[in-house]
Amino acid sequence: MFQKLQQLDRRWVFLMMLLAVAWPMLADWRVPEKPTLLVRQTFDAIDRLPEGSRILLSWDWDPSAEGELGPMANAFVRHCCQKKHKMVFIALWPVGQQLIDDTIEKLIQAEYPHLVYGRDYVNLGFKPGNEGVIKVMLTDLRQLYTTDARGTNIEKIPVMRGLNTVRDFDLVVSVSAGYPGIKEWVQYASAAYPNQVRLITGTTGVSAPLLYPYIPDQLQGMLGAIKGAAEYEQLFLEKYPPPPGEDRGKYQEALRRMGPQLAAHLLMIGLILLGNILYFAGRQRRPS
Amino acid sequence: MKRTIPLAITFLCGVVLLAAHFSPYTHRWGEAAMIWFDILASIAFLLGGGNLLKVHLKKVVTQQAGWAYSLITVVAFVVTLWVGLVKWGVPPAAHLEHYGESFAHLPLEEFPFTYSVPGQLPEKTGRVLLPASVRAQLRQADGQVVFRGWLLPNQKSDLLAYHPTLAWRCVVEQLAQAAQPPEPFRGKLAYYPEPQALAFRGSMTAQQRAELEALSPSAAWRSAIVALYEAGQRQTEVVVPSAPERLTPEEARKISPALDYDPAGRTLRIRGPMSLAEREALERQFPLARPKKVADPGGTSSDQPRGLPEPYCQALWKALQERGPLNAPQAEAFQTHWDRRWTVEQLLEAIRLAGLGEPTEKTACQMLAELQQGASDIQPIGPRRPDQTLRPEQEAAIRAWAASPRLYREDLLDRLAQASGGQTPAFLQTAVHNFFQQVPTEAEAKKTLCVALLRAGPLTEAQREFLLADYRAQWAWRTAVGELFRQAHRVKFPWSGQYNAGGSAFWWIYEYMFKPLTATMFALLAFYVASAAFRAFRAKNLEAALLLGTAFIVLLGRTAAGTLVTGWLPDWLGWLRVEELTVLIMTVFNTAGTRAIMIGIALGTAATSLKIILGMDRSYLGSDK
Repeated sequence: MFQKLQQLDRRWVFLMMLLAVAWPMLADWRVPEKPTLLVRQTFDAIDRLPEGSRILLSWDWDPSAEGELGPMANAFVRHCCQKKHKMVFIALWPVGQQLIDDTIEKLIQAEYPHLVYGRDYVNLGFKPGNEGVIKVMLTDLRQLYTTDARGTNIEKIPVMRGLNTVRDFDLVVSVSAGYPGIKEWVQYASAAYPNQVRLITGTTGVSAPLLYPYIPDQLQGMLGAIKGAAEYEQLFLEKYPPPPGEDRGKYQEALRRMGPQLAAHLLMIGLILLGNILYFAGRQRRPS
Repeated sequence: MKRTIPLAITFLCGVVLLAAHFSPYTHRWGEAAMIWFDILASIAFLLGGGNLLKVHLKKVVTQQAGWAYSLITVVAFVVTLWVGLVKWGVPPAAHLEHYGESFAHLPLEEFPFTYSVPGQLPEKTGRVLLPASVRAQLRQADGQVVFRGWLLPNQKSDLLAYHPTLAWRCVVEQLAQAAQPPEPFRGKLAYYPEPQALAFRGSMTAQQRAELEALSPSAAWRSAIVALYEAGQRQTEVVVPSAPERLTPEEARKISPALDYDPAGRTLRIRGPMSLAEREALERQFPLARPKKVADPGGTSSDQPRGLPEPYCQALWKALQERGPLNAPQAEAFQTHWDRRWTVEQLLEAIRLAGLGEPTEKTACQMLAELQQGASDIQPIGPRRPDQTLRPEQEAAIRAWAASPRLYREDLLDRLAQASGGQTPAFLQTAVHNFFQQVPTEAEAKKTLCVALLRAGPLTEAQREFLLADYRAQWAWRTAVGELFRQAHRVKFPWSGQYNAGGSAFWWIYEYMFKPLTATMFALLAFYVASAAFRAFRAKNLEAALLLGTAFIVLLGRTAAGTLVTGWLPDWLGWLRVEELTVLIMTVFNTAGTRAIMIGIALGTAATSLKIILGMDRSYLGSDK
């Protein structure tokens, strides 16, 4: 038995992981979430803004991070729509533009059909240049974005009236999966203009630990990984419950993913413990 | 020299970026350097693409280990690049296609009409040129502003925004009034300077052709008119499925004289191009969803909808029950669906709001005249227009229409015209149009109901057929109308669409290959991390044991398990709860460590940057010194 476990084929580990993730998904296993202080601060950053505030949403991610960042991106946008904020979307990653199109088509147009493109929100699309884009936007964004992603002259887009630099926005939200992303926003925007650029982010689990040093001065809020998104959804549902009869599932994308995450984490802990037990038992058995 | 020039560029860029960072007066220098960086990066991208092809093709040709993966990389690269560049399957940009209009080439210098108004082009300092949209058409001559062509609305707004003075804005207003097609052709004829095209909306009649030809003896003008006339005579025909019962040949001609509907042969024909308004009017031949009454009586029983006393609601519910059983959640879903229907009171409120008078906006010429008369405080807003209200006979017409068995927007407008003495007021037309843009057809409402009922429980085949049959007919009709619209249209700018437009080849690659593949790659991490954790994560020494303990706490704290395991601890021991420990680890230990690393990196970056700028470190040039 001991020998068998020590030489356990990794395919058994893969199978266990598959079952640990698949079972909660198929059984629709939900676990309760208690929002933490950091997530509350992030939620309040959007919620406390007066109706009609101007928000820049920077989609700095790609589909590989959809599992973690998709739900929080949707949660941010849903919150902005609910609060009737004006939304300006940009992307620092090449495929971010398609993700913005998805957000607009599947969320804004489907759930908030009364919001009008150009009046309530606009998609400025992707521009190459990484942190260079942020630098230029800090002094004159119209120099870089002469049209929106559909080719409409920026001067003719009502939501862009009076928006000339990043400093004119009431809040910047970066959903970030790496470089260029929230770190560049902090270094070039909020660090350079500490009292003029307010910044919150939703980021992947691996990026989150690197961003804690910026909180709360340069970064006013952060959602870390799917857990952060789930807590945000919980807060959103508490404050803005959907009308009776409406499908709540669409508001619980991240909450649904917490069940598989819990099972996978427990499996990982179990595997680490088992590996260590085998290691120490093997050392004792070994002749000195 | 080979090394001196790159060194000099490095030095210059470094100094510029440093200066731009610390001095606000040199911000623009930094931006210019960034733009140059982008240009160089795009060249590097081309070189990179070429290098990728070279390396992988060499591997494929020499059949080195893993050559098949190289082949896949090359094919994926070339296919993506090709479909993106040629915009395969991309529809033209809708806002540039000028649906409903025919184009004929007419060079700007051959355009026979020029218009002039007294005035001066504003003097601009610096390099600010006239707006690009009018630059080729506008000039100054003998104290007159001269314009060749007909001023388009976007050109007018560009000119108004060009200079803020009242005098200039007044000149633009006068020019916009003068530079228009002759009266009978206003709204039908236009000239677009960028493609140098004369455009005519709809199908030109022989009489209109003769009138237009008589406007100018220019050969180019006449040839353009002939081309437009011929484009307007082109017949397009489609076979339609069972047509909506409201549509008759007369009704089709009311929508557009160029439309011809033959019920016997089930054909729909149009002469010339079809406009979006004509398409929408043809598609709208299905009855609108029926309204509900404002106050619903109380429920009849727990498993029946409360709206049942309303005859139509009752009939719908009965028709469904006759075709199969319905459970209590389905009754609730039916009630929810019914509650969301529109009401006559909502329509009346929309009309009331549309009738509220709004302040008028003064023209620049009016304000200029006030200024010249000595007024000091000039307001751009004029007096408010009087409110327009719904008369009792108009309201009665609306209520009578809402009670009729089949509801069509055109019928409502006819009834309102009768109640108004022949002509429906504009505010009423606008309000009705805007309101019913949001109201689905009865077929769409029944399809929505079908989906809601299926979510709440099963439906029989007969119930589904009853709820979906109308929608199917509507869909087939709209598809046929869409086909007629597509065939009647002549594409003007075939490459104007976005490379990633929905349905294009690039979109398919992104949606069905790139997205699932990248997500799969990321998801595979879970399996490898689990395997690695089992085999390699050992508490071999104190540091490893500390790392292991931290990992356990963070792993538990990132899920609800932390709350479940230590949630029972009393408040005075609250700091020992796993979620609190996780926060402590992240905000104190993690932050301290990360800050130390960041400070170290910053110092290292500053030192290395200085060495590079000053030429002490030349390793990037391939030198060891």
